[in-house]
Amino acid sequence: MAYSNNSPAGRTVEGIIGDLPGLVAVAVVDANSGMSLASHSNSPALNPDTAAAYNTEVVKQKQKAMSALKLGSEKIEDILISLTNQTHLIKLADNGSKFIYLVVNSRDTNLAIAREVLRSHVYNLN
Amino acid sequence: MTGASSDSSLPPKRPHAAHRLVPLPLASAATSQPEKVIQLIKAELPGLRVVAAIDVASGKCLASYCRPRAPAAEWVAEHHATTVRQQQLALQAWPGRPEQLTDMLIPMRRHLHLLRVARKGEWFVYLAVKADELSLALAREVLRMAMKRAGC
Repeated sequence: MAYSNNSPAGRTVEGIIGDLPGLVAVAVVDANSGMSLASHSNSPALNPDTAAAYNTEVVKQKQKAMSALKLGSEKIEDILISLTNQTHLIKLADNGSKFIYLVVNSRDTNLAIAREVLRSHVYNLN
Repeated sequence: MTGASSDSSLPPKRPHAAHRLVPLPLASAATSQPEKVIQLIKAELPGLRVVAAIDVASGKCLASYCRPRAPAAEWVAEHHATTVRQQQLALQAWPGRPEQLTDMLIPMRRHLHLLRVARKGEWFVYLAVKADELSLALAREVLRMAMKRAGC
């Protein structure tokens, strides 16, 4: 456990763990630096802080693509990444300064449920 | 679809030229799959904005189709290729069970962007549709089925 439930980020992580106890990893990440504000992993193989750093670049690249497409009025709601056995979800906060990064096993957690859980917790970050 | 030989006699097209399919440089069995996928998706979704098959390593379009007034796929191909490369690098960096990137869905308020990687991970398809014309699940299914039917 790498979070304090005194902070909004820590409470968000705790709330998501409560809704999805079988999750693989979860982190609240500062979108500018890529550093985790709070994180938790149930898998020794997955360090959510490292994964968060990589995923910050994914978010930035997508924002660059939107600029290239002149979609300035558009806003990325979330990014859903399907892997062989896992689903990774990135849910951006309304002001874009933070995002929640969640990893679940595809067999255990439906993509729509995982997405809805993040949607219900992201407001705590604002 | 426009072939490579017929295009060579034409003047270069502007990025906003309507209904263009960028042909593959080589007509080999390996490069015919991207064109086939684009054709299948175009047939299934006549109202789509942009669809492109993009090489992961180079970021170049292998084949693409743009609706009139839609931004050219070539403009964002490199950005999306970087996104896929970044994700593949992240997966290599993680120990444990090997995972392979299947697809990335980026829903926005008015548009849905989808990326689906071919089986060997060398190229991917980028699909952009309007959110009020197609649901995310349906767009994902059309993309998945088209790639399956094309054998990739």
